[in-house]
Amino acid sequence: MIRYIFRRLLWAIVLFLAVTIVTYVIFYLIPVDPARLAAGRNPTPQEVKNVAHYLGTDKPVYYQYGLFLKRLVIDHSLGYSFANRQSVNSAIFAAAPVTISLVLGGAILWMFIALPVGIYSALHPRSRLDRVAMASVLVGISAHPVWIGLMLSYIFGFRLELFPIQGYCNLKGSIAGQSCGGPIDWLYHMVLPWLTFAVLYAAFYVRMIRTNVMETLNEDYVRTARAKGASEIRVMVQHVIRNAMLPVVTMLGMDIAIALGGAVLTETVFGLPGLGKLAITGISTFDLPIIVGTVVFASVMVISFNLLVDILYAWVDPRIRLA
Amino acid sequence: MALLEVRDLTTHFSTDDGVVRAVDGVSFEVEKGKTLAIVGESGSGKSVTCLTIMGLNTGKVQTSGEALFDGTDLILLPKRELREYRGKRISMIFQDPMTSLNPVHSIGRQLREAVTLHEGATKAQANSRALEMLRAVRIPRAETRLDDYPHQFSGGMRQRVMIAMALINNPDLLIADEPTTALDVTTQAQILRLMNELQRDFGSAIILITHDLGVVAETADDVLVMYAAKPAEQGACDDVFYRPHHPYTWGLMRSLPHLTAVGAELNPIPGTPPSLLNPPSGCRFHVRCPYAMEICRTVEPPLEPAPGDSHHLAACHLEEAVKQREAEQIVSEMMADTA
Amino acid sequence: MATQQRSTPLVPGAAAGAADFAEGGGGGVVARGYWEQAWRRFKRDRLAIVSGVFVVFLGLAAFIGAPLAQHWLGHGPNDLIKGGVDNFVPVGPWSHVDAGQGHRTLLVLGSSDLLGRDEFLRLLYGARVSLEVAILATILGVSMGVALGTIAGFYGGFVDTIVSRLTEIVMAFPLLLFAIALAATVGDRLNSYTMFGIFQHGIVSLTLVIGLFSWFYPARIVRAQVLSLREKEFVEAARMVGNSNLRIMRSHLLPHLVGVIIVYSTLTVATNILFEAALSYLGVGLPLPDASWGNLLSEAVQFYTLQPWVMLFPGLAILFTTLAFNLLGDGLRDALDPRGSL
Repeated sequence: MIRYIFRRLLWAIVLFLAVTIVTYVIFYLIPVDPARLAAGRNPTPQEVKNVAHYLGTDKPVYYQYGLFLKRLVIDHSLGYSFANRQSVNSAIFAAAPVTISLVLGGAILWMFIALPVGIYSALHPRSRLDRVAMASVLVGISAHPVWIGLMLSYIFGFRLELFPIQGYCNLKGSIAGQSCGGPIDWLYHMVLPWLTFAVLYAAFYVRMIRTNVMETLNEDYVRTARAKGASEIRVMVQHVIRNAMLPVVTMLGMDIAIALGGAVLTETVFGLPGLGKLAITGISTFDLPIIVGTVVFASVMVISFNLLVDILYAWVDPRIRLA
Repeated sequence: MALLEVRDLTTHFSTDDGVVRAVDGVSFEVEKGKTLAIVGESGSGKSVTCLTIMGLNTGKVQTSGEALFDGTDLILLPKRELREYRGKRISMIFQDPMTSLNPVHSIGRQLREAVTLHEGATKAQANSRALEMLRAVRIPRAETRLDDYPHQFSGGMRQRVMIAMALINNPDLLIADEPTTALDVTTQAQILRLMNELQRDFGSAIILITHDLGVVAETADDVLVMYAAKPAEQGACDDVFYRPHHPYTWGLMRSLPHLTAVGAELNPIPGTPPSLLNPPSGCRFHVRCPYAMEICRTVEPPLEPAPGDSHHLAACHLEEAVKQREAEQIVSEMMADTA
Repeated sequence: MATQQRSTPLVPGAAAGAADFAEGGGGGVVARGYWEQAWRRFKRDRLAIVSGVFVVFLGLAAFIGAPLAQHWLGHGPNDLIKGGVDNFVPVGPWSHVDAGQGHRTLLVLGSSDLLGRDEFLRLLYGARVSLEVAILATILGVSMGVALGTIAGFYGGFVDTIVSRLTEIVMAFPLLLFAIALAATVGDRLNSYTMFGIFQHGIVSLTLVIGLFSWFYPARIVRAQVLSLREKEFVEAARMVGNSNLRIMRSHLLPHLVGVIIVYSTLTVATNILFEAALSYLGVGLPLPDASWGNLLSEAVQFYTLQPWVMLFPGLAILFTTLAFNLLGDGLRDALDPRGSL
C-alpha cells in the first residue's frame, strides 16, 4: 500500500513537471514576443528590451523555465498579470471559490439525480422510467452546454422569474463592489448554474451507473450471494452497488478535477467570475501569466484529484491495496 | 420419501429471438446422502435444471412442474421463504471459482455472511464456524487466511472456499455445477475426493453436474443423461454404465479418451447440440444419431423403463435387442481398454 | 451466436470446458459474412437508420442546399439586411423585410444578430463548418489514435509504457482551457491558411486544434483491442510464415479493428461538433463574419430573452446533429459488436 502510494506520488510529480514544461514552452515560445505583449501599447524598442530583461525572456528557455519553476515551487508565485500587474495568485484565489462552488454543488446535484435513476434503470431495464432516462441521457450528452444553460435561464430565470440569470454572490457575506452576499444569495444565484452542470453530467452518470450495475448483476459472485440466501436488498447493497461504484468513483474524481479547471462554458453563460472566466479573459488579452497560471492551477487540480482517487480506490479495492 | 423429487420440470426463457426451452420435462429423485450425477453437453439444460430448483434463474423465465424438497414444492414457494432454503438446506457450488467470490470482500466476511444470514450468530461465533470450515476443506494455515481476499487464493483454493461456504450450514443437499471444470487435473481429483469425504462426514445429498463420465463412475449413485433439454437416459449408475440404453450415452462412452491406447483417436459424437430455440422434430438426437430410423425423425420417443428394471429409463425407438447388443459391445470395449 | 458449423467435439473429461456451446446456437444456421450479419442487425435498428438518413440529408443541405438557398433568397449568409433588425432586436422567423434599395426579401428563420444577417443561411453554412471541422478532426485524431494504439498494443513493453504514459500526461491537461488557449494563440495565426482555397478561413486551424485533442480515447480502446488480438492464433500464424511486423499490423490486425474504428469515429464526430461549437462560442473558433453554430450561439446570448428564436435554432441544430451521430454510433456498435465487448 505504502509502496503503491509512493509510486503514485512520484508519478504525480512527473506529471506536474511534464504539464508545466509543455504549458510553459507552448505559451511562452509561440507568441511573437511576450515582452512586446507585456510592454503595453506602442512600446519603443528600448521599452520592449527593458521588459524582456525584466521578464527574463532574453534568457534561454530552460533558464526561463527554471526560473518559473523556482518561483512556483519556492515562492509559490505564478507571476504577475501583463494587463494590470496584479499577482496571478490573488486573481486565482479570488476566482477559485466561485468555480469550486459551481463544481462541487453541481457534482452533488448530479450524483443525487444519477444514482437513483441509474440504479433503478439497471434493475428495471426497458421499464418506462428506464426508457425516459435513456432518452434524456441521449439529449443530455448531445445538447450543447451553453444551450442548456441558456434554455434553463430563459425558462426558469426570464419566463418564470424563479432565479437570477446572471452573477455570483459571495458565500461568506458581501465583499467590496458586490450588492449581495451571504449563503441565501449565494444559493439563489447558484441554482441555475448547478442545474446546467447537473443536466450535462447526470446524463453521463446515469448511463455509466446503469451499465456498471447491470454488468455487476451478471457477475457470478452475485449469484453466489443469492445462493447463500441473501435478500435482494442485501445483494444490492453488499455485493452489487459497492463493486459497481468503483469505476464511477474514479470517473467522478476525474470529472470534478477537469471541471475545476475548465467550467468555462457554464461560467461564461451565467457570468460567474470563476477560473474559466479568468482564463478566457486572459486569453482574449494575451495575458500570458494569467493563461499559464490558470492552466497550471487546473493541471494541479487534475493531478491531485487523480492521486486522491488512486489512493481512495486502493483503499476500497483490495486487489490494488494488496498487490 | 426422497429428499428431492423433481417432476416434469420445464424452464422456458423468453428472448428477443423467441422462446428458448432450456429444460423440457425432466423428472428425477435424490435420496438422502446419495449422489445424483447429471451428464450432458453444454447447453443441454443441466445447469438450468439446478438453477430452477434454487430459483436463481434470471431473465424472463417461465417454470412449470414440481420440485418437492422434503415435501415442499420449491417452485411455488414465495421468494422470501425460498431464501430460507438457499444456503441453509440447499447449497450450490458454481463452475468458475475465479469469479464466484466477491473480489472486494474478505474470505472470512463472505463465509460469515453465509452463517449470519440464517442464524442469529455473533461475529465471533460465525468466525469460529468459518475457521472450522476452512480447516475442514484443508486450507493450510486457515486461521491466517480469514482476512485474505479471493485474489490471494489459487483457483483450487477458491473452490475449497466455495465448498466451505456451501457446507457451512450443514445443508441437506449440495448442488455442484461442474465444480472441477475450471481447475487443472490434479486439483480436480483433490476437490472431488474432498467432496466425497465431506459427503460422508456431513451426510449431505449431492447433485453433481458434469460432462465427465469418469467422475460420474467414481462418485455417483444415480445418473441422469440429458440431451437438448430432455432426459435421454436415467437410472442407477451401474445400470446406465453396464447396460446403456441410449445411442447418446453410447456416444458419450465411446468418446471417452482411452487412457491405455496412447495415440489412439478420439471418437467424438459428430455434429453439434441442437438449438433449443427451434429443436429438431421427433427424437432430438436423430440428427446426430448413427442408428436413426425413419420413425426417429417424426415421433418423439417416450421415456420408458428397460425391461425388468423399472428404475432404468431411456427414450429411444431402437429395438430392445439392438440396444442390448450395442450395450454389450461398448461395455466389452471399455473393459478391454481398462484391462 | 455460433454461426459457423463448429466441428469441436464433446470429449467428456479431456475437453472439459473447451466444448462450450452457446445455448440456442449451432445447428441449421447458414454461415453468413460478418458485414452481412452486421448490416442485417443495423437494418433492424430504426433509430440508427433515421439518424443515418438525417446525417446524409444534413450533408446534402450544407454542401448543395446552402448555395441553392442563397441563390433562391437573393442574399448571402454574411449580407447585412437592413430590415432584419427591428427596434434593436433581430426579427423573428418568416419575416418579409426590407433588404435595402427598396427590394424585399424573406428571412426564413429570422435574423441572427443586430446586423440583420439571415439566420437560416447562417445555420446552413454553419452546418458546413461543423461537419467539415468535426469530420476532418475526427479523421486526424482517430488516425493518430489508431496508429499509437496499434503500436502500443502490438509491441507492448517499453513502447506501450511510453504511449500509455503519454496518454496519461495529455489527459492531465485541462484540455478545454488548453484548446482555447491554443486556438487563440496558434490558431489565430493559422486561420488564413485555407489549403489552397479548398476550405474556408479558420477550418484548418480548428481541425488541427480539435484533432490534437481527440486521439487518446481511440488510442486507449485500440490498444486494448490489439492487446487481446495479439495473442490470437492467426497473428501467431502470420508471424510464423514470416510476415513483417508492419505487414501483420496492416493486413492482420487492422481488418479486425475496422468495427471499433467506425463506431468510435462516429461517436467522436458527435463530441467534436460540440467541441467546435464551444470554441466558436468563446470567440476562438471560426473567425467572424463567417457563420458557425458556436458563434451563432454566442450572438444569441446578448438578446435571447427578447428573441428566444435566436438561441433556439442553433441549439437545436447542434442537438439534432450530435444526437444523430450518437445514435448512429450506438446503432453501429450494436450491429458490429452484438456481444458488447466494445
